Amino acid sequence: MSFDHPGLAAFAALALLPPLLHLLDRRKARVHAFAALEFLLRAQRGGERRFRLRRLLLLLSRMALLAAVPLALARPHLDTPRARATVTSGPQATAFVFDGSGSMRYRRGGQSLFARAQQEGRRQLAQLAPDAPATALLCAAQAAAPLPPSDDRGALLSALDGFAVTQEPADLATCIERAGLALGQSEVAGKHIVVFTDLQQTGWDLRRPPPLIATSKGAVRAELEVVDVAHGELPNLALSDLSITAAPAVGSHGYQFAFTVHNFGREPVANLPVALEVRGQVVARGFCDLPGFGAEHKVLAATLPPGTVVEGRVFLPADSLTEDDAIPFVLPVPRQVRALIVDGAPSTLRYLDEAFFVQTALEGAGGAIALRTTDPEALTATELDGEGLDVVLLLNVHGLSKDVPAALRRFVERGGGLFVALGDRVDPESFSEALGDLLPAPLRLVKTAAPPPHVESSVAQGAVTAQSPAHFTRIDLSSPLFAGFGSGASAGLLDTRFYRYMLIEPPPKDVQVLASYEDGAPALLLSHRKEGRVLLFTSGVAREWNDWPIRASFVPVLQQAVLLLAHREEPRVPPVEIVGHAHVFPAGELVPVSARLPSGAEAPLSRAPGGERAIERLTEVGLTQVRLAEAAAHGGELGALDVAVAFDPRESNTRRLDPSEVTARYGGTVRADSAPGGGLTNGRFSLWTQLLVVSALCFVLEALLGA
Amino acid sequence: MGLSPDALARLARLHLRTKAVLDGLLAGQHRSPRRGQSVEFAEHKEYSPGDEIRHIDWKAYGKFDRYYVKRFEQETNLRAYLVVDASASMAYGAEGGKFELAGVLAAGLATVLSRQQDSVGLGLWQQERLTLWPPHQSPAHLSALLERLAAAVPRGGTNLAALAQGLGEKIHRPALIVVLSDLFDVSPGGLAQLLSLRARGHDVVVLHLLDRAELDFSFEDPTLFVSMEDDRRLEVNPRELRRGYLDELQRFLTDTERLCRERDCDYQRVVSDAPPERALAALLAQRDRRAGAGRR
Repeated sequence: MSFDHPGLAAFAALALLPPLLHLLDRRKARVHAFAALEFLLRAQRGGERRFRLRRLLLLLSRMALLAAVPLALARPHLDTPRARATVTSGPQATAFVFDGSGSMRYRRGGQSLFARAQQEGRRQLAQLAPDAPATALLCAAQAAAPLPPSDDRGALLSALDGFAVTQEPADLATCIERAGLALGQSEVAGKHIVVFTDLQQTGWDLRRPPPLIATSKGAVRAELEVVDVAHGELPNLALSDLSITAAPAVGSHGYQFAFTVHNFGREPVANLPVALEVRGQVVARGFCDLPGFGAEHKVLAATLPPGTVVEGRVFLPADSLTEDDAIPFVLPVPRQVRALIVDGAPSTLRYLDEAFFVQTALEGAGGAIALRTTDPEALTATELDGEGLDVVLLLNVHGLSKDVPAALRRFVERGGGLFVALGDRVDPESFSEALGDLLPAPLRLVKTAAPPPHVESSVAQGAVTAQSPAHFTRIDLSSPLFAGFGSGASAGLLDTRFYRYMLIEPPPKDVQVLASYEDGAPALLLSHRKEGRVLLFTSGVAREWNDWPIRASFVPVLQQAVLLLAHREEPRVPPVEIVGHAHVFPAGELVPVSARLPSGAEAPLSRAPGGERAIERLTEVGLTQVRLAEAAAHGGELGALDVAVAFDPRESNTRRLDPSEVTARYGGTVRADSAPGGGLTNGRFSLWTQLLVVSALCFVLEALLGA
Repeated sequence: MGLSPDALARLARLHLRTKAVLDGLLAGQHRSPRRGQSVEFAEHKEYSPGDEIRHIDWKAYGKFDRYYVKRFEQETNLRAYLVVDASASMAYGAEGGKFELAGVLAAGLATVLSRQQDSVGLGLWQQERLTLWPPHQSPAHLSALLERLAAAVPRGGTNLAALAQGLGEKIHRPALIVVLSDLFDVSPGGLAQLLSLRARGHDVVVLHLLDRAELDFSFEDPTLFVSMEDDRRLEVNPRELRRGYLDELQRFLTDTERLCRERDCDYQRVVSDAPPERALAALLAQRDRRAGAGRR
């Protein structure tokens, strides 16, 4: 008899407790001088045998109860004679195949399944006839070729001891083929392949035909014996598919972490905690209710410190397979966007200031945008040519200094962003001339759709006066500018009333019109000029020309506009790689020099087909740290190329094959191992249910006798 | 011989409890069924040969010219023996045990009898031996009896057969014999022998003393029970034996009461936690009923 959890079986020693207590009680019996002892003796004489029997039964039932419960929990089983029949008779060459896939890291009874497989392998090796040739093979993604079968047990044991379980998937069908090839090198007629595996579904490709081994007498089929080291179901909770996206709703540096929580077990799981950890601190928590063999999509969100590379993980409580209980991530959080507002119509009364509403909107970005305001006369080419700006906002600017337009052009071409809003002070002709092709389209004239309500007389300024204010139409909601505005949420935009706006020349084809007015005139235009972007708003950002600045939709659109112009609309999120995959570093200023796996081992760097630096194979789950060339020079970017590696979801899926499927395909037998602590699957006789029944009976008997 | 300090303390307690008993007890004086010499005139009876000539009422002869003799109510020609079982088992119970209760009852009875001008004697069964103090009617004698009761310490075993034999040998004239005992006698037939005194003309009254713990057997934890009169011992779980013990005890009580009834003896059970005066009152009432029935 052996146990799945031998540690629990030790608690069967509790059965000694009742007799010990009985003996202690005997010592503690108090002495009482009693006058009517004669009647007591008569009563005792009458029922002595009955009392003694009852006491004995009570003691035995308590002992049995205390012994049976821990023994049942230890899941004992008896190996049937069929299960003990291992190596067959007659001369046979044997190949031992050890499943080294990630799922074999599953721990049961304080021991990994792979360690159990090795233990069982050594046991079977010892049972082989001394002259029977044998070889061993580790079934892993990258494993050495097996030695030719030989009777050198020392070499074989040494090879077996050197086998280590990987974190990657393995293809057992291929491994069986390789074992067959190795057996083909032996002259012995009998071929025997013993596979030690957990029978995990994803590790077996049953479409592949059983291997035929070429011998001098023709091709023969090896006798396959599958040793199940898993002992029944392997319930497992796992995380997968982590995706990280910006979450402006959470904050300027808000991110949401979406992932899937799987329950690869029959029993449902309630209130399973999941958490988001950043730099060792849990910053968000959640709970999941998972049905048996079910999954739940979960999203956690947090605001991360800007201008740093954040390393963290999402995780759930560790279970028997710990590698898939956490997914690490590396996230470079961008620094603040530096924006310069060029206020073309400043005023000592703040609310009359052209920049008032823009400043208010951008200051509400939670620190994502660092603002500075200047006037057109103070704007210099030197400032624009420097490195201190990401976005320039020209608000109702009448004119610019002589060399500023050229500097603006260089600024945009270098990757900067330019936002242009118009107003009364803008002369279409001279403004278009000054900025030239930097504008998405040349300006023509102002159109007054309706007199603003706070202006007493209708002032037509070179355009046709309509009867009612204009509104946005044809909004390109797919643009990042309108992130957060779904089809239902765009009402706040559509209600905006425009009293005046600038008509423009037809824009070139490469200019995106993100929104238009009802008459078809463009309202928002986005153009790209080399590395930079220009956004033209054909109306104003003060209240004279429209009421947008006092509407709720103004704030997010303006914030998104600045982020879009600063190329921050989609922050770069390095992918979470899967173990076993390659990783190609992005081309750029950051150059990796070396990489270190979570275990401390060096991961060799190579060149990808495109010439980029790469790690050919990520072999360990966790954070692979990458040292950068001149790391000191990139102080803030230290760790920016670190690679987060997650467990392969295929290995997390611990659903098992029915042994009959394997035997149907390969023939042979499937049996449980006989290592200490082994449990029951096929070919074994479970005892734990019987022990539970015995426990229940003992409990009832104890209750009856005790009463 | 002076009393020991312990005995003096017991005597004081005995007096105290006896007084309490007497205060609670109704005046239970009984009239003797016999006529005798006394100061209280009862009736005239015509003289017949054999009557005492000195009882002839000469004044009545002067009036009626016939001989009449005077008859008087007699109150004090009862001889009572209070036989107290002072075996070791009587020490069982709280506050001096059953023996102290027996002492209180005996003292109460002695006082009542003494006030009725009856003669009271005392018998103590102690260390397998009967010590008997013959009855007298005097306050000094009563005090001496109480002192002896207080000085006695329960020892030795119970042997009702030997007690009956001792009483039979030492008491020759018919008397009232009140036995105060728990009757826990191992040997069979002891009680029957004791009650056989009735056949010799004695009026036998049994006051059966029991402790509440003996009646309820309310023990819970495993206990080593040790005999108080010999070296027997028994370690048991009392919960297991309770039912059997109570059955045995009930059988004993039923048999005892039945035997007393059959032998025309008065039987009164007294439990340690019940007021002793109630038991005495019940006993006296029972005897009054028997006396009334006898006169009718």
